[in-house]
Amino acid sequence: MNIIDEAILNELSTMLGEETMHRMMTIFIDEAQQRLQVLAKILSSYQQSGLLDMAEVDIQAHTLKSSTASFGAQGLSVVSENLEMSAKAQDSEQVITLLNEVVPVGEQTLGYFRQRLVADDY
Amino acid sequence: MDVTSSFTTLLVEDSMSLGALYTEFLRADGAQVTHVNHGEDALNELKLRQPDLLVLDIQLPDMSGMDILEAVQKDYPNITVIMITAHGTIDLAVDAMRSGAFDFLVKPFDAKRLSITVRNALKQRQLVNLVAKYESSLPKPHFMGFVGESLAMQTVYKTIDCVANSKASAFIVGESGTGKEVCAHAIHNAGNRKDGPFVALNCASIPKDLIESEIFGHTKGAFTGAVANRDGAATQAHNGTLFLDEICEMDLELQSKLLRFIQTGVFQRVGGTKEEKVDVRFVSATNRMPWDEVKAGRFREDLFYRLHVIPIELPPLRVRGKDILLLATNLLKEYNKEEGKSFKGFSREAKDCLKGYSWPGNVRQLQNVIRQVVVLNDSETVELAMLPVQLTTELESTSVSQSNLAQSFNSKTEAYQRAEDINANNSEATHASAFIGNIEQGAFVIPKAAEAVVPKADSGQIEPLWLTEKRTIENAIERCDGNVPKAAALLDISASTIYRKRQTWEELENSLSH
Repeated sequence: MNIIDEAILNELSTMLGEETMHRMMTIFIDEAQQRLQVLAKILSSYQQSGLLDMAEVDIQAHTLKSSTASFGAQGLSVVSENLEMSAKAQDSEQVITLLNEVVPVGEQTLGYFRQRLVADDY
Repeated sequence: MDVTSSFTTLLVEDSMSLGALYTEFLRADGAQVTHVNHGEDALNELKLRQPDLLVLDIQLPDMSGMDILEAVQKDYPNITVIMITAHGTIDLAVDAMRSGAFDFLVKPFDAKRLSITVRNALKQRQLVNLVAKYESSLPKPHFMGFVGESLAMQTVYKTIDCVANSKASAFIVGESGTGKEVCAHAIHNAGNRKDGPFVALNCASIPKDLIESEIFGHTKGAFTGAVANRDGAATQAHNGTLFLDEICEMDLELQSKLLRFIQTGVFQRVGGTKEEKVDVRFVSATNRMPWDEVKAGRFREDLFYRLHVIPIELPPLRVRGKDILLLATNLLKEYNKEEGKSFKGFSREAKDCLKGYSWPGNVRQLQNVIRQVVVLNDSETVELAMLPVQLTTELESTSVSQSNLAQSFNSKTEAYQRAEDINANNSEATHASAFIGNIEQGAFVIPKAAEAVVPKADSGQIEPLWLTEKRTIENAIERCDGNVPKAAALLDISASTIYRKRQTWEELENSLSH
């Protein structure tokens, strides 16, 4: 599966116009980065102390799932959804597995969006 | 229906990027958007400004969107709500719709989907407002303690609505039993002082030497029997309404003190020297003609002008047309329940009698009559024989003088009665004529009355005179809304003549059928 659905991005771009789309992508990148950082911290904290903040995983994953889907970041959206469901089910093992997955997928996704922003500038 | 004009929206979405995106979608549809991330911020924002539309995420960091929906349904029911949810919370979205949300959207959704939902929501809102507007323009069958659909009463309701929030003094004039105290209560309860005190004082029932103390209070030792300080009606009515019933009974000396109080809001207690200031709205009432009292020197002219700012005339029951039966039916139901009886309604003759009676005691008298009937009888139907003698005696009276009619029609409220008659149903007449009543010194001039409503007989057929007469009389009664004495007067015969003829017709019809 492609991690980005270009069609959604192009449709948004057509609807919003270049300038607004640029602003939207910037906000999306900032927010996604913040939430991924929180999830990375939770993983790191687990690795150090063995304690897993399921509630916070649930909250972050839930919001990431929806925002990434709306911006065409399908890959990250799917992982976030799985992460949310695992957190709700209190499945620690699965949550750890998915936390290890969401961080690199997130970095790849954000890398794509940053490149697109730069390309749009030119 | 135009839904493209600007509207205000509060968007409650914890994701910054989604909030920014949905804001752009909504602005494209003409919305002025306020975006907040937390439930608490949404509730604070709603206290300051109520938007046309609320777009509300179910899962928020500090509370559930359902809590906000509940608060909105309770405190701001006019706001249209659209819930937004992710897949895991669709059941909640359905619950939200049951709780009053207009619709829900499942994330991710595009601009088109949001636009369709918003437009549908605004359309529904417009329809609801339109229905409310039409409903408010329909005649109200009851209002703030009054029961009545007649045009005269609709005017009273509108006036009460207009004056309720004003501080201007209202002056209620009406015969005894027309509901002056009900009117005063309605003015108070319909306005912004409804949470404040309502203090009523009957100026006729309080002894002259005590009334000043009743209104302004007294200090301890002010007079024999004043064993403690006492708050008067003026103090008790602070931030509320002071109702002065039978105001024309107040003596002149007290009227001048009342005038000062009304002008300044300041008064002194009996026996006191300290001035007190209160914020009071004045409502006065009398069953006399206040200007006649001024002309006779019994009521101060300057006080009259201070109190008589917004006059409200309560119509006598006899000119309220259908309201008589409406009230009688309501009262029958109420007293029937209280007394544990089994009355279901009135016979036709009883209805005619109630409609035709002059009701000098107005609604209070009607209450007494219905109560008397219910207590003293036990039946499913109120028959003519159960009604008090004075009602049936007036009905059988052979003379209804033109001058009495002229006086009764000379009142402003009779104009309403005529207006209602003109709007009444058309019969199959050759032409309908509108009554134009000009009253000049007791003469009742009906320019077109000679062109009475007479249905055409079939061409070529000659029918018995009694049939033609019957049709004429029955049409006149129908045009008068079932009011037999009124129809009789306009036909220039007595009511008892109509009743005798009815009996004769019945006998004739029975003999023809055998």
